[in-house]
Amino acid sequence: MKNHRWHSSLGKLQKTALNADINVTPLVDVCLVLLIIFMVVTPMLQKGVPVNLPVTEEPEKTPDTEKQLQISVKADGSVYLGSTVVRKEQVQSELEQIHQRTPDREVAVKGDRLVKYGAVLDVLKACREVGFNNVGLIAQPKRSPQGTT
Amino acid sequence: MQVGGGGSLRSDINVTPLVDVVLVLLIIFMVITPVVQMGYLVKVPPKAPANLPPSAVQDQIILRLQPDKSVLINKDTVPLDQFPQRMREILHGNTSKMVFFQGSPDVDYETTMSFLDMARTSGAKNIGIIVEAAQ
Repeated sequence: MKNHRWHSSLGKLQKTALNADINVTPLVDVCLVLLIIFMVVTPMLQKGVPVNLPVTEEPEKTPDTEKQLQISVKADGSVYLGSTVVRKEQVQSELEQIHQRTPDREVAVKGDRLVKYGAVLDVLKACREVGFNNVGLIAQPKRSPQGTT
Repeated sequence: MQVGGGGSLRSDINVTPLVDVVLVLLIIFMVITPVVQMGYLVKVPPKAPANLPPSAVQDQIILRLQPDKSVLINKDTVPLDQFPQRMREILHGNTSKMVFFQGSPDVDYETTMSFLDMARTSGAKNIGIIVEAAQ
């Protein structure tokens, strides 16, 4: 440092010290922005409406793909297709329309843990009538630390 | 020429620990984000044809969860603590591992799911849901 202080390669006098540190400020900026983005996006990642899923011992993986159709049954018994609320009588006709457009979709039923099985059964009944025969009943593994997923 | 000591005074904040913490937090969030959805894949079989051969019906295993939370395997009542054992015995030579489940509409969903989980862990790999109400 000291040697560089008083003469440069051109032999002229130069009073500014040569800084050999990496400038980390942009790195910190980018990281903080990414961090904030992740913090904001994480709670919104759950598709459809938030429900308290039943907690069980060992559910298997049922990855949510694009072609999966999410049906949620909230604690008050209201049924949501994706993120839109549907009247109970209309569930079957709505499913019928979806089945006509895309017959090979998988259905994921997310029932609230407090709901009666009968409410979920009505949805399953509608699925059967329409022709969706493969259904995933979504649950939450016991060991997961997250409270609501 | 210089009067003071050799080292020059640095007025920068030491950002290295900040970067460390931020990067670790970033990694934690990136790992947590793609939480895989978990659940049970079940079949909702279509209505059986009326002229089903009796042999197809004979070997069926039907689990029923009664409103009082007692369990029936076909027609036999099974205490809940003996259920996994019984299921393993029944499914031992069974190649399809197919069972049908008929739940009571009045039982809450979490109890039903715990029961399905138990059936699954005791060997019932294929579960079909009967949507008709129990007689």
